[in-house]
Amino acid sequence: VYVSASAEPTATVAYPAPTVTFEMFYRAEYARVVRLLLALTRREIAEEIAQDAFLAAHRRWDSIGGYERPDAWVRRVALNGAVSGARRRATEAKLLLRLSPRQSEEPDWSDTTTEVWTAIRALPKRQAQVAALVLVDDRPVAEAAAILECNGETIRTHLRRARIALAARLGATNDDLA
Amino acid sequence: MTSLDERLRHATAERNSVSIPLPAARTSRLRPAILIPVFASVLVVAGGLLLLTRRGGDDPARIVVASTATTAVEPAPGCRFGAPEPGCPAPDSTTTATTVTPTTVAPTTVPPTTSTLPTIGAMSPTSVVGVVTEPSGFPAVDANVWRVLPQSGLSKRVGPLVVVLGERVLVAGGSDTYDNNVNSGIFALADGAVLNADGNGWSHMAKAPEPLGFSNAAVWTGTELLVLTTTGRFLSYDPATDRWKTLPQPKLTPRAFASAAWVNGEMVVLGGSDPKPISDGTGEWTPRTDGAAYSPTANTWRLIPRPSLPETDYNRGWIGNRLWSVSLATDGSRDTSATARSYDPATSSWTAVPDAPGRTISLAQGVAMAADDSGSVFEYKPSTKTWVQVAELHHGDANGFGSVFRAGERLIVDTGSGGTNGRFLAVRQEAGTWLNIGSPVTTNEDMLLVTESGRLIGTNGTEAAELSYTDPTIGVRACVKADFKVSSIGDDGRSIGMPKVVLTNTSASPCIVNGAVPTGATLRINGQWVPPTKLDDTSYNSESPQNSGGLILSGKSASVDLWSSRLKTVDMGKTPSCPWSTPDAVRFNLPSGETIESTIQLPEGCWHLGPLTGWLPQR
Repeated sequence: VYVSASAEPTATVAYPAPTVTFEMFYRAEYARVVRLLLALTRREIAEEIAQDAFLAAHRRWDSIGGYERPDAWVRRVALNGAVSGARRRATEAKLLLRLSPRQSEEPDWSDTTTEVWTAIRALPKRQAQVAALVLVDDRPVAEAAAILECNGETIRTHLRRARIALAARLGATNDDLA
Repeated sequence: MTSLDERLRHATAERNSVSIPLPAARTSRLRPAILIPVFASVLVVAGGLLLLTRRGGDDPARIVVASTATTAVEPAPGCRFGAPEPGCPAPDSTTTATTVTPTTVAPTTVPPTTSTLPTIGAMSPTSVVGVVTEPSGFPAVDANVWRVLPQSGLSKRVGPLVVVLGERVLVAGGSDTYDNNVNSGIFALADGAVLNADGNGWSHMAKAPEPLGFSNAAVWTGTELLVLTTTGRFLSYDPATDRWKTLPQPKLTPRAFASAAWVNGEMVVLGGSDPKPISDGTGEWTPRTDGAAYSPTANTWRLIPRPSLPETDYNRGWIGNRLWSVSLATDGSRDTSATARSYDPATSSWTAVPDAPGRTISLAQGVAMAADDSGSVFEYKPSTKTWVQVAELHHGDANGFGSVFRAGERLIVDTGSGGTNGRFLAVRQEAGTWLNIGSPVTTNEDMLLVTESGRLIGTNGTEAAELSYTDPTIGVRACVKADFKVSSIGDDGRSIGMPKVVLTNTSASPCIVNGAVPTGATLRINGQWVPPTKLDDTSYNSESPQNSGGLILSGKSASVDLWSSRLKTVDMGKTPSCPWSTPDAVRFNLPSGETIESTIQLPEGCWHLGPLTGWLPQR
């Protein structure tokens, strides 16, 4: 059974594995994946990267649809895309080519939130991914480890370092060290 | 001063309030004629000509929500489903049902007529797809591909204990959930299996006395497996008798993620962290900084005095008889250097390791490797206590360095799944040539293992595969020059005549040419009909994207893998009607200097996908 374990306000979704379709998966997870990426990049790029990730999933849905956690797979692809400089440049170029008026306006973030996003985006790639998953998306360390394909100890180390760096950049107290 | 957690909560709440509708429509798009100069200027800024070109060729589709009555309507080039935009048809305003449909739009970055990407079948007058050519007498067909091994029969699991027993591979325990409490009695697993030395079968193990879960400390002594579980229980397993035994417990608090090694006849366990967060989802990740060693001969544990393990190191691993601890320095935005020191449990002393020539240190399979930003790979030589450059890493735009280790003469680099060149790259050190060897199994949980003799096996506990490897220095892939004469393709993409390929062996030695043809097709070489000889289904298994060379079909998409290049995918518009799942393989000798002409006859009604699936170009 594929169970979405997102901590987002929408209800947890459970799909019987044999009947989960790409459409169900896409509808349930698209917004969540975009939100995950908002900590790492601006909205229109987040949507493009999410599109690419779901497109990749669609192409391989015969196999990915059978995974225990297709949502973990698509998050990993999206997170890698969000921190890959080359991919982001390509995505930005694609967006440039469309020369909108753009459909997806950047949310009107408060100063506090803007500062948090800026600080997270300045972290080293892996730390930024871990911060987005654990600190913002509120995912357990074990799940972050599964998504990023590394062990829990590595995640915790990145997490500690990310918290220290974020606290320093934001001029905030690090509750983790209290 | 506010706390970091308060700020994060604020940002998270604000983020969660953002509405993210499914993509439905775009408001405008420039015409392709206008796009080209715009694109050219973007290239300069982005510095990504190749990437963008590939993306233009590979990613023509997007996923949007269409509001249509019953079926999705293919949008005009440059348009998407949904609301009207200039030059695009208006949607049906009376519709109610919704569907999610992958749509094909014309590539925006490169006009199709100027694309140099090899495509297949009806999309191109010539076909270039992966086929192995090798010198005479060299093992054929299964070189550089992952041989799919029998399934273990174990259920899918997260984080099983995977240990190399000489030439065998043991898989035990793990968990059937990703949740916080992965090691609770509800989810932790106790069963396991051992892959035979020949890789052709699994032997199921007796269940462990308690669920093993994951993140246990385990070592192989050469005769038995020793496991210190995260509950603090100490077990041994003897594969010869298939029996588990309970052994004396160490005077250590239970721990997860401890570092363990078989050192001088003892099992040494060091560090780790409090297992509560993964056993019941509560508690903190409190580090353990102590350790102990177990002697099977004396059947007793001894505590290791004051190992003083650092709490915040980045990476730990055993290199020989010493535990390495790697720390990273950062300037706040990026890691700037990696430093390591090693711990000798025999003397309880730490020794500084000479500075690594890069920002990354990987510890795996008993080998310490470092890589710098330019792609140079270094190996630490304990005998001289120096870092020695062993290879140049050219890994495309793989996302990060990942881990690197040795398998016999090969270096194996795990670039992670973000790389456009695939997950794993291999190199033969002397040649310095990198080769994409794909991922071993089709799920995302595979682990890569090296047996004592240097065999490379990947497994996720349920599935397994072994890499068959060919020495790339022989130059086997440069012996055939192929000339394509494939033009008999109708407008509807069907094969009209018999596609033709002319091959010339331009090397001084004979070649064995391997090809794959669809089931039911017949092949003619120099006027003689040749019945396809089934050599190895797994070599060209269309369902296995880990293949190095071959055709991969998935629904309407067809992909070809050009060895070290990334997959090239085209949308054929329709699902081919031929049974491509198990294509037959053919092979024949091609003497030096000789030329042959091959043609292929497809069954009635088949969609043409290229003769013999094509030939690998000279490299």
